[in-house]
Amino acid sequence: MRKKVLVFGYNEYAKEIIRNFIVDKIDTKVYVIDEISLGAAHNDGINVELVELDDDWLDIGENFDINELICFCSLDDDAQNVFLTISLRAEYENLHIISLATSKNSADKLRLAGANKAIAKLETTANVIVESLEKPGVVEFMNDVLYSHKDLKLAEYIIQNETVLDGSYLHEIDLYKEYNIIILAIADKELEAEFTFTAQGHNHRIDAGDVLVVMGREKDLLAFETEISKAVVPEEKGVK
Amino acid sequence: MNFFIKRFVDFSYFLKASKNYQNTKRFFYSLLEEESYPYKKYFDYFMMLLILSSVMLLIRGVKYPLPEYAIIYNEYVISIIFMLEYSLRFWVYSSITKEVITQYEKDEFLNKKFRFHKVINHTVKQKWKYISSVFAIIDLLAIMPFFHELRILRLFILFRAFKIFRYTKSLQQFAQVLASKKFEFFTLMVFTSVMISVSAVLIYVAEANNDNSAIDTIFEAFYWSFVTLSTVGYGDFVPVTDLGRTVAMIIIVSGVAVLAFTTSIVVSAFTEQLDSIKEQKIVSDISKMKHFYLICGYSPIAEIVIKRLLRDKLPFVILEKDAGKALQVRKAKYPVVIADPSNQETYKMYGIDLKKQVISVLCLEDSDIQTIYTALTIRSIEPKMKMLSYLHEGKNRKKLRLAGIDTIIYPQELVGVISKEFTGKPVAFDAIQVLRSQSSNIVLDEILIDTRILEMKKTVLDLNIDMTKLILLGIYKKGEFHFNPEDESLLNEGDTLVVIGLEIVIEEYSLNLHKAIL
Repeated sequence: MRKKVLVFGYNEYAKEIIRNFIVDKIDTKVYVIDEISLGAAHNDGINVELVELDDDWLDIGENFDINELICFCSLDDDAQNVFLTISLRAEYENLHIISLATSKNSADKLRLAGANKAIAKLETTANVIVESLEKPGVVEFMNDVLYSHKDLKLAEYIIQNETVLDGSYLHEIDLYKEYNIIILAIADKELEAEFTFTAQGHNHRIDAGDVLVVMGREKDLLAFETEISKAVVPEEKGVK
Repeated sequence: MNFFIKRFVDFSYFLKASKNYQNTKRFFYSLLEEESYPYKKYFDYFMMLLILSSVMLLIRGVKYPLPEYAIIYNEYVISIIFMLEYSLRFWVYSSITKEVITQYEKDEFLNKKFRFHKVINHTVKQKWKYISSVFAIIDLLAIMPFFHELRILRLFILFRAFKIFRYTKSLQQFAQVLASKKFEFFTLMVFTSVMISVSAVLIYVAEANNDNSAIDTIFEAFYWSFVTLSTVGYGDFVPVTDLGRTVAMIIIVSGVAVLAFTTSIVVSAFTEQLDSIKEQKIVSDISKMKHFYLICGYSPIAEIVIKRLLRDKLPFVILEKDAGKALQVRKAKYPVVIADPSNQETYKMYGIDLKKQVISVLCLEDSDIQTIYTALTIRSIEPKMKMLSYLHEGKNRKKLRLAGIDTIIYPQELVGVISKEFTGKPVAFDAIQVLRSQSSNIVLDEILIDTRILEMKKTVLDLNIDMTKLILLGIYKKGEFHFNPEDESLLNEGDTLVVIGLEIVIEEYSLNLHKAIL
């Protein structure tokens, strides 16, 4: 996980984002573009700075390690967020940018502008509303796994070269039985944003660089991670 | 009170107390009169079928002799059914027992002698009101062919065609719309009658004594006036005198004016009544819906929620008090009622039964103030109603809870948590988002363990989930999540399985779990 967070804007969305990082004691800084937001953030004891939207953003590179930094574009106006995203991307190729958009259309523009992730506020909320109606159990489960600080966690592991699972097939893995975890999916490094879900039944070949998405209790996940990180000679790797 | 009247009062009380009698009457009333009664439409279809078959037999009988069974069917079977219907309508139109009991109790209270004549008087008035109604007269005329010995009454089969008005709502609405312009039609009729009468007399005076003219009688003069004024002009009678032709020119111009006036009355009647007709249609549609989600307020978030509900084929009804917004929704052909969701009368007026029809209420209004007001209105009507609400400002969360909202969705909080997940475990979170969004055919779903499943499936092992391609993530037992449960874990009623799998596989598996006990 990246270690520092830079949030643009200080509205209700930004406040919630900041609150989530401050709880985990992650170094968070806020850039605002107007005096009112500056005053509000100051009053709330936030580390805040007033900036111009048409800045060249060179100071970000000077003050932060780009590879450690994650930027949230949470300005009130979608057009401003798009402009900010494209400005940041123009300056820093490796910067991780997450931008907020009102609708799906604006989210698409943000992705085109270079955001790593664009969250469409209305669509995301509507999805949760409908899910609460249709599948209350699933919503409860999601809250338990993702949003609460309970023992059950979702984790992802990048398969390293010449380790236990490198070169094996998804169906051959039975480590999960031993560690009481569930393998949900695998993200192929060659097929960006494409997932192979275990429940699809495809026998996917796991290569180094693929990301394994698993679920389990914290201690089981740790033990599983240790196991799959072990380096093995080619003829010993794969199934256990 | 004489013996007969006393028995009559006793009998009225007996009928009032009789469940069978009351249920039977209620059933026939619903079947004949209640638009929302689910079986009414089948009764109406049946009656329409009888009418159509009867009229078709009449047409066939004009040139070809009908077989005996068709005559029996047309003159006896249908007539008897119509007679039964007429009698039932007569019966359910008003309650004599109610009249008797009300009058009896009133007189008892006032220490007066029971005034039976008042009951008779009131009952006769009520029943006469039914008998003299247009529909009842048509119904009665449609029964007349039963007395087929009087040949003229056979023609009354034609009245059966008019009966179709009773069973087709659109025809009723058409008549209602025209009835709303009674005054205009009356004015037009007077004008037309005067024009026809004056021109008929004039043409008669001008043409009757002329040997070259075909118009010889006053009837022919009226006929010519009518045909000319209507702009049809058959040409079988034509004026030959100068005076006659002058009258013709005047009446032709008047005819065009009459037609234009008639058209404009009909068009304006429909334009004025269009919203009301649409409203009636929506109320009728809502009353026919068994279950639906009630969306209060048409906000931007409501717009997207509606799209999701449509995609998942979930029924819903929107309540929006702003007519401008509601009309915008209506253009998209969504079921919307222009009414204030925070007004108790709305639910009565539009026949929305919160307890029976509404699965859950979604308060998606533009402000928390409005949401709280609506929530309290709904709570006061139906205390156990499930309610979900969109929270605009975090500080109002507690107020929404106090107003009885069960599920509160605060988008800022949601985005905050999601943002954090995207930074910590972006790939894992993406995978979950794919499952939740249902954009692929793999979904995260739930299966409820009910008594039916429990009869055969006692433990997790019995579920045979390993035989399917589903992944059982865990089971919710009384609100507690049991991750990756052991094979020997016991199942209980109300447990919820959380599974991942292909949508079609989950559907089939769930079906098979229920089928297993067959």
